[in-house]
Amino acid sequence: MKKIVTAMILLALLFACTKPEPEPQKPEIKGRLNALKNGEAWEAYAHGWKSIDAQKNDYYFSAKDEKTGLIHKFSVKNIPFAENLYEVKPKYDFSNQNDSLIFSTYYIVDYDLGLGDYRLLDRPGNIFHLTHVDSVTRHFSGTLDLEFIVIDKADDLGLPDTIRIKNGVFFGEVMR
Amino acid sequence: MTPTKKLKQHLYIVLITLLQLPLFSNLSGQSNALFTFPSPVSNSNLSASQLSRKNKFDSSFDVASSYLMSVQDIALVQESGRVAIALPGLQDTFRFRAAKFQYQDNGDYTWIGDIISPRTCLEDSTGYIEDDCISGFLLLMRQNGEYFGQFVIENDAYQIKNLGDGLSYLIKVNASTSPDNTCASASSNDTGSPIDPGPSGAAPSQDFCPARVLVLFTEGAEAEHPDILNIIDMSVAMTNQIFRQSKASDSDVSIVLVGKQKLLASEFTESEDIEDDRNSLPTNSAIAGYRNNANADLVIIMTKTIYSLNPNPEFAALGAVSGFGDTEADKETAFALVETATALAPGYVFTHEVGHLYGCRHGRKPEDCGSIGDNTGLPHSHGKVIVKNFWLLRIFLVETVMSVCIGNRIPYFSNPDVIYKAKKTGTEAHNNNARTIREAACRIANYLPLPSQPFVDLKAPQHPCAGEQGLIVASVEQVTAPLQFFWQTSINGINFYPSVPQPTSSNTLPVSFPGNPDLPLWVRVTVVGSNNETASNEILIYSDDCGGNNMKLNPGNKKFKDFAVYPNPAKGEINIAYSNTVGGDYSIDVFDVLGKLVYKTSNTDRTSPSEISRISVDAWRAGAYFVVLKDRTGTHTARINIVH
Repeated sequence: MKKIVTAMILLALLFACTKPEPEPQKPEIKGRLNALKNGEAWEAYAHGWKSIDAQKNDYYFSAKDEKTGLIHKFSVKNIPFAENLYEVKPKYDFSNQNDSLIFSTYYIVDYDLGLGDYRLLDRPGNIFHLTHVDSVTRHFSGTLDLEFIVIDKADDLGLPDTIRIKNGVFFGEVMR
Repeated sequence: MTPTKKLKQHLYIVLITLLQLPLFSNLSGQSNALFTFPSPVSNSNLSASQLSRKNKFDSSFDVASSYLMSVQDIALVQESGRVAIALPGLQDTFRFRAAKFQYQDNGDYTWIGDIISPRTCLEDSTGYIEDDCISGFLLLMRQNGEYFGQFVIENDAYQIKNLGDGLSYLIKVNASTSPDNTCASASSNDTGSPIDPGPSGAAPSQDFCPARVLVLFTEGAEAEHPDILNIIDMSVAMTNQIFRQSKASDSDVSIVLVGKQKLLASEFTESEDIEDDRNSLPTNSAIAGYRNNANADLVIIMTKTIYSLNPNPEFAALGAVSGFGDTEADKETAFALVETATALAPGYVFTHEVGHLYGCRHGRKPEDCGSIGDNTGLPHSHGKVIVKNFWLLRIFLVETVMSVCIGNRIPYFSNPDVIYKAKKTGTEAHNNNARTIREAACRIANYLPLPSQPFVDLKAPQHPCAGEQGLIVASVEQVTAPLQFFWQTSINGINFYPSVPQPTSSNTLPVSFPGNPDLPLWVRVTVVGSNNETASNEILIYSDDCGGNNMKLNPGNKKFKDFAVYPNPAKGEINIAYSNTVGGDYSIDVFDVLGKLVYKTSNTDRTSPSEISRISVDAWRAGAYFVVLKDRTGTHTARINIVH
């Protein structure tokens, strides 16, 4: 009986001292993208952030238009960290945050003020191609080709109705 | 009722009010300290519930310092609409004066006041504000006997949290830095406008157009902020306070909270991408259902702290809006996300996003963080970064609430007619959020139109001189004639007299403003129409100390130069002299004591800075008249007696 009580106390102490699960670490991605945006040379920073548990990365690309001060940014999400040609789809339903759809969205913002929202055009040929992945150094590179169509935009800024990111070449590193 | 009886009745109301002064204003010299700090209380003295709440608050904010304390009932401690706050470790006692006091029969209330000492930043009739004044406001709410609120003294922001069982928790919140805070040191060629009046640009007054705001909150926000409902109430009240002190609205309420609703995780959960989240709002069927049920013009979603944690600099944010309200089409995208922890001071993110929904834009390059300049449809709609000259240096001071950075935000929308520490908070051409809000208000209030509601608006002379007589004028909408007006007055915002007001058909109330400029005067009117439609409203008036002669200039007058009516008493004709150094249109109306307009003139094509109007008064009955001058500095009233 004494042993049972002692065991129960030790068991209780064990669970009482259990630390909460730490938040999964978020890998950051640093890199660059060069592409033709609506026919003009365009350079953007590449960022990323995704739970390691998902074994997938979200790739964010952004650049500030120095002429207008507006920030252009788009993301390609749910890409496995493995060499492959991934077809990217438009996303219509955002109510399910946990689906595995590989999708992309494009935004033009003035910091917190959304001025142009774009959805991927539903067409074949929207691709995100990881041509090189080094699982040791965590370096990667690839190409992309994406075309977006406007959902909503401010009327007076001369924003385009479609945005084509063509001949995109990117490279970067998953930092941790 | 004869006119004489009406006048007697009105003056009786005021007289009764003033006679009640010693009974209800607590002027007996008792302390009006709002907070008491008990002898040191350690965590071990707290109940489990109090400690849990305290820990939650500590983890929800960037805490600079904190204190356990008790909050006194403003209804008991206020003296002439004033309360005092003394903080541990600070020598100064800060006094606040009521600007709005919504008192309910059950003893709950919302009290909002401006700081008035040690050195007030409040504008008086001279329009001049010293640059070393202390700015700030206090917002205190009592609900079900519990207190919560916030106050700001200069750039220091404090949250008042309820721990339960009569104990409160005061948190001084560090001014958090936005993801792009490097602009806080931005210099500018714009040194901030001095207070010399600019060209006329006052926007026309608006109808009463409150936007109906629905505030939703996520499960994550509730878990992070157990007092999320209080934060929502405060966010709305604070936004209205900022509208008011920015002179963005003629009316004292511009947004009305029509609902607070938790979103289930299945309806909306924050992702790590604020852009995808805000983009999803217009097509979210659950949110659309809540919006339609509440008939809400604007929808704000309060979230947990998540977007600001995004390490990608261009994707980190504290809030976001889907559309900015410069066109009718924006009703489809009238949604905003706000991280709850930053909704209130010192970030004012809730108000910032509401500002966007009204069409306000950020500050301009190069003053602000690189927000876009004039290439928009609303070139005047930008926030303002205020700097000052110090020898050859241009020193960054503060920025209005629509600026990008949040490190040094002040609770003002930009407005060239509002002075902050001897600097204009805006310019006519580029930085006039107040105008943007005024012009957008009625359009936004009709995003989801409701049948017009009965409404009564009250207007009083601005900055009346102590002891002066004046008229309170009620304007009524959506109430069927014949109308009955029930007038009441109060000197504490709680007890109104007469307690059972008698009906009158007059939409004006002649009042004698308190002879002491320290005394407030609340005026309430209830209007009943022939179909029993009812509308009610209150106005709070303080008089200025005009040096004992309300027709003379204040020597420090920078704005309102001269306005005189003579001779007084007059017979045959009167002269109305007006020196219009501020420029712009003006009008002069003369009312008799019953509020009937007997004379009206206006000048919209001025060529001379000074004018004298000579008016024959032979046809006027003998008695008192009120001459009301309106120009871009406000409304000014003079009383004159006509004898025959």
